[in-house]
Amino acid sequence: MDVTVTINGQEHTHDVEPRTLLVHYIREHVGLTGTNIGCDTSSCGACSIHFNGEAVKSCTLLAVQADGQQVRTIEGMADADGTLHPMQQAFMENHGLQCGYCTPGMVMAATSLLEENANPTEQEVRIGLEGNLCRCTGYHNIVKSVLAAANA
Amino acid sequence: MTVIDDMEASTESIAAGNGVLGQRMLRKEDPALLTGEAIFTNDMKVPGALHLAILRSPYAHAKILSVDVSAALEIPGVLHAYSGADLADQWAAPMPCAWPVTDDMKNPAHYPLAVSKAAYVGDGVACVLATSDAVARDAIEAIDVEYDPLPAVIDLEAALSDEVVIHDELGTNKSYTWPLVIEETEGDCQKAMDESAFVVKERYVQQRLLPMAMEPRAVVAMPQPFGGDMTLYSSTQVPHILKVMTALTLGIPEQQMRVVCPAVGGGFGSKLNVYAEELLCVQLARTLKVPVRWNEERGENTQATIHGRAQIQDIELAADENGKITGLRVRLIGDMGAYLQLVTPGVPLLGAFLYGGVYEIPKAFDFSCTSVFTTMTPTDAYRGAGRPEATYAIEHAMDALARKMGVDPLELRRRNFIQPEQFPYEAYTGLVYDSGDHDKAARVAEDILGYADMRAKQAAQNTPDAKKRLGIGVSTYFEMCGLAPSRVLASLNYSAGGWESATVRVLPTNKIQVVTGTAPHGQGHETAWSMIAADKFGVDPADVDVLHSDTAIAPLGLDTYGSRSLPVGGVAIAMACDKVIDKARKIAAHQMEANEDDLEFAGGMFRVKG
Repeated sequence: MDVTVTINGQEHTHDVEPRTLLVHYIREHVGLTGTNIGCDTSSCGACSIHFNGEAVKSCTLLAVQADGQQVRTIEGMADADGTLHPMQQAFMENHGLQCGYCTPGMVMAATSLLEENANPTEQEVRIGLEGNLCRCTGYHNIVKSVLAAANA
Repeated sequence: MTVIDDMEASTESIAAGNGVLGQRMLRKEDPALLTGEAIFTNDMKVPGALHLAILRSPYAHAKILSVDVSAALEIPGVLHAYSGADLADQWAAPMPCAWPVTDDMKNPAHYPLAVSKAAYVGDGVACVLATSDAVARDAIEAIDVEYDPLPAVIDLEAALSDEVVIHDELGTNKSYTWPLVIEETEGDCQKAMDESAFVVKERYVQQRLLPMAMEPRAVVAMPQPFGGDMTLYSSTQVPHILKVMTALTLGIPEQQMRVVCPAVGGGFGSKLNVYAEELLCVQLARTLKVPVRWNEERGENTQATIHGRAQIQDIELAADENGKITGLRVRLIGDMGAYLQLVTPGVPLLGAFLYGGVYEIPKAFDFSCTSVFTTMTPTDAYRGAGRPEATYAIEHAMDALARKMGVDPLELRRRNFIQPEQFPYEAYTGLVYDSGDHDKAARVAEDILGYADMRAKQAAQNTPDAKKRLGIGVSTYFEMCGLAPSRVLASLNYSAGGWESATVRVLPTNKIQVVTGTAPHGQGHETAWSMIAADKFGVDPADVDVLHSDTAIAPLGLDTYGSRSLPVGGVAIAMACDKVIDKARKIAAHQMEANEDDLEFAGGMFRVKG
């Protein structure tokens, strides 16, 4: 069936199997592979995107549920001229990533968190990102990055 | 707080290179990873690729009576389906184990798909190639396998009893026994156990664990059918080892194999291996003359990617009336899992050298490891590989001894520390430790915690009826890593040798090119290695390009594991830089009509001194 989704401001229309997950749609049909798959079970948050402005795990939605909706992925975060989003910049400056596989999901979840709470405490950042797993950093520098972005 | 926490990150590139080492620099790797631009293996767009899916045994131990793939072949989009038997003649050699720890080590033949018996949950028994991943995964469910389930063997001591033998052709579940023999000390350990004032005997069980890199494994095999060349893209820590082993296992001339790791999302040892899926993709791509790809689901990752740890440790520690250690005995049972993967048998041995921790241990040391097959996923190197297990055992045994003696656990450790004036210190294992001041380090830790006050608080708080009790743990940590060519590695029969290579070139536009044999997967080698070269040449790290993780670009190397990349690969880069600078000095002296000794080199320039 046909779905039309606006991703990073651009409209995409594809014929998809009804069972297609949104994350597979984004990666395989639209070809935006910055959104990573880590667990297949909605546990790790690597596939987090913005769905109508709110962070969701894109493996928990079907592509058909995104029909007519607004999606933003990691590819839509930096400016066209290459200027990083303040959250991306904060991750870079605070060594908030190592292998980088969880990072797109972390950035999407963290920006959504700051939309809801512009000045979170450290504890609020930790709770706000509990749906996103990282294996490299021990989270310390991720939390530092988000707090830095909040103060940027 | 670490020193790094106090340093401000520079948002500008560091201009003058000499002295750049030790400064904080933003990572070169980050922009691509932060914007989604980085390509992980499963992100690759490969037109015409067939997707591989593998049917895995749901039984820990079962005879495979029959495999019928015909129903899978009827599903639209499925092009091929194979049982293990169908592919049995495709392998030039069994899957590799590169670490024969003893001459008589038993190593069952292990093939990418099981033929007659499944030996763990997740053992591949059949596979499908289809036009999409979803179709391939649908199709494996249509494969009909008839199993005859056999008893699972999951207890290590029960496995050693050979009541149920997993690999019939071996006749036993025991793989090897490896003793660490200290020359001319036979009987000393038993004497210490018999005659010392205190002896503790403990058993610790190191549970199995899952390494769980965030990126599951992924493979793309791209054939060049008319030349016979093969490029294997894989989420691996070891492109060079994988190249050699794939060539050997599949009978491909080494010069026709190329391995590339795109961005790799963590490894933790689990990607230090040669896996069935890599060999299947390459061999099927080779015979079918089309690209073949596979990506691991997380559930598969828990079954088909190696596990870590898994040992039973029996440790006996003897001490005199003052708590000074007089003897140490360690008996390990190592759980190999169902098969020996790349370095499976060597993992428990790496710990053998660390059971003494930071303590003065007499040569009354008696170590032996017996390793055994079980019907579980093969184990292999995971974070520290054998050494953290050793530390766990000696530190817990020290606590047990402290309890037995009624001595403070830190005080007991202190009485046994190797003293600063004893360095360089030849340990009970024959290894020489160059330096150390353990008491000083312990005092720093004591001061940070306020150890004496904390003990007083504990004594006050932990009354018999206290609802909330205060616990204080004490541990030292001693590590052996950065394995390089050495007599220790040679004595362990470690086949790869442990060397590393670096090539450094100065390009016509004054940029520096560094080619390394290390294979980063999150460690930031591009940044760190460019800092080493920048420091040597006195240039901006931004002007240093680091090439890696592609055997066509960086043909020589032994990859990244065991904390070896900086101490071996990084040093190789520093040495290569020195060679280039020495060569340049000769040329500069000639061109400047000056004596070499009269030249100084700084900021990337030779100048006549003075």
